[in-house]
Amino acid sequence: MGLRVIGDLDDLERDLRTITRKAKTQLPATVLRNARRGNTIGRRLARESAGAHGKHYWKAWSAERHSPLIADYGPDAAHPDGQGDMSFNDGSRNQPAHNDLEKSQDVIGPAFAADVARQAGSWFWP
Amino acid sequence: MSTAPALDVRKHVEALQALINAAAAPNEAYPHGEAPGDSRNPDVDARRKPVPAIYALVSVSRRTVPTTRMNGRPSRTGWRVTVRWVGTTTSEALWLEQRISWALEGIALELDGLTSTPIQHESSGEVAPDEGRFSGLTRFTYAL
Repeated sequence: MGLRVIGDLDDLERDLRTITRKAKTQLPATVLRNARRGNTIGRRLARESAGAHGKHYWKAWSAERHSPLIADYGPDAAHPDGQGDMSFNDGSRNQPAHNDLEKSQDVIGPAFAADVARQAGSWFWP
Repeated sequence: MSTAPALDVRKHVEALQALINAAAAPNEAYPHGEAPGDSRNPDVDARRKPVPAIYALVSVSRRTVPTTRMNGRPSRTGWRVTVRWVGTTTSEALWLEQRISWALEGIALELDGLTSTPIQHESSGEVAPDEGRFSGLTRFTYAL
């Protein structure tokens, strides 16, 4: 059994028209989803590395959206626990940097790129 | 046995220390806990020495590099360098920051017979008071 798929320029033209609508609704969700995933990864790393001295540090991690296509995550200095400053992540002269944020970026960066590429691929028929 | 190259972190640290020492002489770079005057220094004589006015602290760790090949055997390793630059004044600390950037950015390391990708700047922190000194942090990355 075989399957033949034929597409012509009309199909491409239709795809290109619908992409502007689809991208607007789908990409903001992709951005926020990946920021949240990155936050989950970083927060777990932070909980492991901070130790007893920073036992509430991981709770200061959060992800938030700034505009449809911009979101960020990481320790929030304004968090009520008061352990959201960067001194755990960056260390000091008596303590090497934990790099929790950077380690989470190593994981989420390629995953985010793949997610966006997959999303863009889905806009073209078939 | 791992197929990943240049896994001995000590060699990475030594190579980076040498580059920083050359650019910031007579000031030197040390691994964390091994600077003169550090109470955790395993060398008791070094522990009793005064803390240098200007010095750098280097640490290196391996980064996650997602394997893209189907067999999953790593042939490359990614590395992250964090360098903390310390001085008795903000000006001293920032002077050292500049020297470190000059010494490392764009330089390829030779390790285990391989040449690394040029060292890339990743992020920099502001200079800030740090237990009686001033310091800040710069991160670099490279791959082998």
